[in-house]
Amino acid sequence: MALSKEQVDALFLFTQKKMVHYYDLQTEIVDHLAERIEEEMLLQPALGFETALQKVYKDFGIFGFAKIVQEKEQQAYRAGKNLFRKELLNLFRWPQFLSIALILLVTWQLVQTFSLDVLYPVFFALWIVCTLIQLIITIRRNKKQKKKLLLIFYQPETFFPFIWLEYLVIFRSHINIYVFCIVAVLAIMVKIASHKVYTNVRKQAMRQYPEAFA
Amino acid sequence: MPPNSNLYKGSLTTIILKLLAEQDKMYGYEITKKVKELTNGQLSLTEGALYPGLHKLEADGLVTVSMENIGNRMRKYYSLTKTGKKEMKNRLAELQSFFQQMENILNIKIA
Repeated sequence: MALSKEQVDALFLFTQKKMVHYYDLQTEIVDHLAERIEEEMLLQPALGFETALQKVYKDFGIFGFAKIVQEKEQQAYRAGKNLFRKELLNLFRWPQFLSIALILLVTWQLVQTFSLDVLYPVFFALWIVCTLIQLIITIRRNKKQKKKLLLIFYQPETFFPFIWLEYLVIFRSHINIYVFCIVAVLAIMVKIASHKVYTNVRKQAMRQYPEAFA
Repeated sequence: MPPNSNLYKGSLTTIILKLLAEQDKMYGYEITKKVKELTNGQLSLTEGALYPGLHKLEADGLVTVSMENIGNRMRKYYSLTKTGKKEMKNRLAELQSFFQQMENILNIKIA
């Protein structure tokens, strides 16, 4: 006996009450609960939806869905990190490497033309502005989203926060034009890779959960 | 006598990979039912172990997911990626070698 739409909605509410806030995870748990409840109600038609739900929920153990949510958060973070590493390494491959070589060439020309005392603050300001724009776009998009998805929750600035900029300030006196070129190109590569990860993961999320964006 | 479920823990993801290799695509509860069926009800895969296992395989890029509308709800299906297929073969070979060693050490015949 298939559950009604109202009963499926009740299951979504139930998972929400049990601290499952991500729609992608809710969908999976709701399907699992629904099928188990359908089986229970088929075996014992007098059982009723609520009693069957409590019976099935008991099987998730004393921590309920907490362990699944916690583990899923960790795995989503790992997945994001893996994708980021993959995209970053891809930039070293042909033909993407051509654009990186071009960026390096332009940076090299800049350090030959201007002093580091000028380039250093300009680079910092640009990097911070880019990061803020990226964050604002992400926050605005997430607000527009109807449902929160764990799939794109950790994108895009989680893996390279601002902390490393602090080191650049501390070690300013040790940074020459060669180090500056390498750091600047790496920072741009990080931006490109994190943007690619965010775009790809968002596209994947829109394909898998269109109702979360409707 | 039902087997100690702790003995299966290290092989959980290998079991999932193998089942997915045989079925093309499966959803979470389907995997639980299949394991129960194959072990004549002696082994039951708990939800608390199954989903973290599946999500770990997904994060490692060994399985890919697709969504399907099944009436009034969505269902998440898992299927093996190319890397997942290779990994499944490696893990089965490792497990086979482990069984061989256990046979030698404990002097028992495993199947």
